[in-house]
Amino acid sequence: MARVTLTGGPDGVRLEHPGSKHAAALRDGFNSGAAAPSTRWHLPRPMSAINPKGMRRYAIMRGDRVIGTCRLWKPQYAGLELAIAIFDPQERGRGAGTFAVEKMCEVAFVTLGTHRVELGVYPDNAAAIRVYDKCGFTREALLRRYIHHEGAWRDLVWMAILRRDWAARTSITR
Amino acid sequence: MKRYVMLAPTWLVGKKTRLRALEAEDVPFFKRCRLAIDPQAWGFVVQALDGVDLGVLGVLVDGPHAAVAIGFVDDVRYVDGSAADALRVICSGLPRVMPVQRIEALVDAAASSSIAAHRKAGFQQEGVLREALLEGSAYRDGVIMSALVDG
Repeated sequence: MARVTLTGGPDGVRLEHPGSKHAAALRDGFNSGAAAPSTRWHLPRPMSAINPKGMRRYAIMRGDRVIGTCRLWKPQYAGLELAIAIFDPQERGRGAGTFAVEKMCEVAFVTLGTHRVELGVYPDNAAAIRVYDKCGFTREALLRRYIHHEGAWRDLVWMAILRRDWAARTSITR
Repeated sequence: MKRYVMLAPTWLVGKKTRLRALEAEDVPFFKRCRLAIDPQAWGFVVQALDGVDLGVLGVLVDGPHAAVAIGFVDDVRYVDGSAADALRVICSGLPRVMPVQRIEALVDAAASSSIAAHRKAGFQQEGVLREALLEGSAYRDGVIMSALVDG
């Protein structure tokens, strides 16, 4: 299984496999309610189900701080589904999200061998959609009344990147 | 096929079709319908009103969402109104017993008659999910369509 380097983000941003040293920060990050709705998230799963074969989750680090988390999970439709949250509002727009998304695609296509990575994002989260556009994702559908959030049923933009798109991008950008 | 299966009672009845529960003895018929459904899905046999088996329909409910898939032995059922009728039956019947908000279908993008049948049943096309369907060893694009419960 090919390994992917998880370091090299802007200002020292990197991904780490979550362990006990990350647990409190991940807990507090979600507790804060400040996790940006960058993608939809599933209901919490048992810890025993967190790292089955073909799925991954990481803590997004800047220095010694956990600034967010991201994971690949079983898909809604096909391939793998990506979810990401940046906890600290001041960390948004500084490249950590883009780095994490690009690394997750690399893990998905190189290490896990999937053919497709997909995600759902709120239509009004323009900043997140820009990140996914920049990382090569294509907007495929607007799923109507897909998620109940903040008191109302809301639509969800569904985006995906295929292995061939990713391979073409990486051959150009490398 | 056992006689009781052919005459199985159901309240899921439309103008052209009725949906009865899928039974173990329907497996050979199910295979002829070329439809893959999740093992956790509810399975139905789509029958003509006289009890002749036409196809199968699967519904997977996940909270307020439901995903439906339909397949027939004879593709003419997509154009003679049977497919649209069966889809209308499940879209009207399912919310009576489960609190679903949205019923979706991922249809092979090349299956124009199936897409048309879904549209006729009230589904709206929301987009095309690339390489989202696996047929044999090849991925195919799927049209994602949905019907919302209160329109």
